[in-house]
Amino acid sequence: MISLDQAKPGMRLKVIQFPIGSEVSRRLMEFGLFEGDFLRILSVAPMGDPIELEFDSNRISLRKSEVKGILVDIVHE
Amino acid sequence: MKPASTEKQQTAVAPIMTVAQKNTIEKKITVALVGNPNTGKSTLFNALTGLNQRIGNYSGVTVELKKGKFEYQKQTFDIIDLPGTYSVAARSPDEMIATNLLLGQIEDLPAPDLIISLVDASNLQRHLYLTTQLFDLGKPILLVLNMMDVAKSRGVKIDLSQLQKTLQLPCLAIQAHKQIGLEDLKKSIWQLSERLDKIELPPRIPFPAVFESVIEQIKPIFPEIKSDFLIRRLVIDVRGPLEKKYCSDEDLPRLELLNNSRTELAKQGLAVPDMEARERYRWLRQATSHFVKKEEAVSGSWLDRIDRILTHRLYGTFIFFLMMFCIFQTIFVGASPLMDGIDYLREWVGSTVESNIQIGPLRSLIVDGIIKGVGAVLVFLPQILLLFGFIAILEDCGYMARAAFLMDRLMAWCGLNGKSFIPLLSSIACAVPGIMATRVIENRRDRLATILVAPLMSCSARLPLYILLIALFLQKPWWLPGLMLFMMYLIGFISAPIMAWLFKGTILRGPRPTFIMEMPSFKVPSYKTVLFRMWEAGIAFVYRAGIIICAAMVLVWASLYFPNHDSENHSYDKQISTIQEEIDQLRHSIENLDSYSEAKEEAPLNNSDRENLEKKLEEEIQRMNLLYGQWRRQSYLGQLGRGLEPIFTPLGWDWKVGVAVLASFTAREVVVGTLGMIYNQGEVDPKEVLHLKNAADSPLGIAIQSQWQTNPDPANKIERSVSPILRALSLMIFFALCCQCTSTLAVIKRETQSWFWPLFTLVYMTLLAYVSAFAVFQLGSLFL
Repeated sequence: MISLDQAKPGMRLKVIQFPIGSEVSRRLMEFGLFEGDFLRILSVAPMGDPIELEFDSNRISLRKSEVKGILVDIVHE
Repeated sequence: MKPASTEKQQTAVAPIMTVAQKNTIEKKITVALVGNPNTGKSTLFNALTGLNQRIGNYSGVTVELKKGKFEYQKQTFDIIDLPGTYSVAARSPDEMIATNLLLGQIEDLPAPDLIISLVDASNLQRHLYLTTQLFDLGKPILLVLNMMDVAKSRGVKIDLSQLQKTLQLPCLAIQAHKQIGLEDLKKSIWQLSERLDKIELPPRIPFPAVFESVIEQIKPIFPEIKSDFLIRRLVIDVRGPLEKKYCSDEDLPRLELLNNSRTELAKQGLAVPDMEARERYRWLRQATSHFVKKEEAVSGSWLDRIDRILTHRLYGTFIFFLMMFCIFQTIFVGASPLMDGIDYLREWVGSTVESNIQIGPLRSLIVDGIIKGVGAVLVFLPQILLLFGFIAILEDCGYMARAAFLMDRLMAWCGLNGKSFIPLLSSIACAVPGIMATRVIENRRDRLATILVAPLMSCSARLPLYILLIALFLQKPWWLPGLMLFMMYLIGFISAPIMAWLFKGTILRGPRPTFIMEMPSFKVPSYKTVLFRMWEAGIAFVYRAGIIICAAMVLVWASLYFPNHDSENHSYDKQISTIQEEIDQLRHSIENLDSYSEAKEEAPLNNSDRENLEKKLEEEIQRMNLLYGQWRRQSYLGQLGRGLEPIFTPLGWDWKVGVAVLASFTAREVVVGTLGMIYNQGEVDPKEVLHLKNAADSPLGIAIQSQWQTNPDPANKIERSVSPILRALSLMIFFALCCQCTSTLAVIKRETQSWFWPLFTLVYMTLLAYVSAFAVFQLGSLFL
């Protein structure tokens, strides 16, 4: 289990837990991402931040500092 | 239902009318257009209303609300385009505006009779999230599915009749980009408007009973909140604007009660705010399975592969900078013939007027005030139109989000985000289009910070002065000119982020907005959208900013023109025009002489005649330039400059430089022209300076050099002689940082809808420029 900000491009991940009271988590839920859902890291911007992730038909970019604490499992294919 | 279209009648003396009466008299139906960003909302709005739209100003509304009209079956429909949003959950007062509008709580805007919920068919479930939130409003909703073609290409099949049955609301599919389904949409809106009272309202998504009982408990505590919708939002949106509004500091007991209820919910596993998304998606996932069938995803499409390259840390960055270079090169190269054309046209109109109106204040007002003012406005248009054309293409095809993604880290250092990058970069060409380009930044404080620092980026209008002064005083060793010019640009690159960081930490301080940016799917940009954006930007600039620019031009003209009498009460312009006539005559005679000798195909015999004429010509030109200089010196602005000399002295300037700086307030490049007049060299065209091989050899260059070096002004109060290098440096630094540009200020006024921000910009930049020039000159004096 790792924190989402440590994930590398190309990784497929499963959401385990959102930190309580996190604004980014709430936004992600509004996009339809919940515990147990899968997502994929598509790319990382130059200088390592932000990251782009994909789930369902959504592609969203987020700053690493803000996704810290979202716990995910790496899914091996 | 709230009474419709009451905005006009609702005056104190208006007779009280029933809703039915009003509808028959005015029959105006208001439709609100709601949807997520990147849903094609603007495209649909433009397609429905055409050019029949305007940006509304409403008290207390800080975001742009567009209002348009269309007619169908002799019925007029007012459409309000709401800012794109993913959710009605508000984090800030700005985000409350959509809710307030939908509830009819904005002055001068009637509550909508019908809501159009526009959704992207290719990502239906997520887009329906917002739609289900709208259900709670208890208003008629028409669901419009856009981008059915994209959905189909992704293997998504949507059963419209099932959808209609499951959600219990009318719906139809369109393709806004290809203008498909628009007539059907108008017809549906019209049909619904004919039976507004009979439309079945979509039922609210069922929330657990515990939640409903909490709502019932809360209601009596906030008796002033009449709307059920708002009570629910108050409970759900923790620390939102509603909570702040209704639980002020004196109201702590109420906040405590509210929080107690929330704790109660959390104990039941329904912690707000997350519980809203959980409940809605639980329902939606079940519901969409009835009408959305997804075939196995076609993985790795060629667009995806392109996307991977465009957002790649190396290739993506390289492509981005290459693209930026091409765009700005095109703007520079493409705009300059148009700008020259406008200049030429202005001169032509000016000279036509000149030859038809008698010399005097009126002629000068028209030629030097108004025509120059209009020209100064129009000359920006090519750049603005081109830049907005590119921005519209980049936005419409989906690249803009990728660019912001690539540049975000860089901008995060000064508290901004990636979307500020292109506006700041465009400001290198000119701050006016750059400031207008900040419209792509949704967050208001980020946008303001970007607007405030954009004029610090070194624009092309500063270049003539840099080139002139560098050529004069900073020519050796060979590497110095290039280094100096680079430094001048560097000042902008460094000061803009620092100031942005300062502003974000002080006057624009606030909760840092969460950076969450959708990367929309790529599509071919529609030329209609692109043309529309260009048209919109052009109109906004010419109408709203142009008037202020013209007014300022006339003001500066007047302060340089009056008084127009020398000590013997001869008016300057008449004297100058007499000399000008003599000059023309002399030139003519010389030409005649030349062509005569040419025709005879022999060496000019009357060489001494020609020399005499040339000598006379030179004398006359000198006499005219002297008069010009004298005129400017005793003008009101000249007097002001001399009066302000004590302020300029610590910067190492004399009043001449001061007047030139003051006069350049309308446009920076004017400084070179005014310097020319004050140094008795006539009006110098700043463009000529750019094209000279060596600006130091121009007459103005020689004049400045000799005056600054050997011949300090007798009225000069600076005791020791001023080093010309330091004076040049101080003037350049001042120019790099000051806001000597009416157009920029006018555009800031237009974009912020307030006089405060342009004034603030003027004050802070002038102070910054003054202090920096002061420091450079004073510190430099210690060493040189």
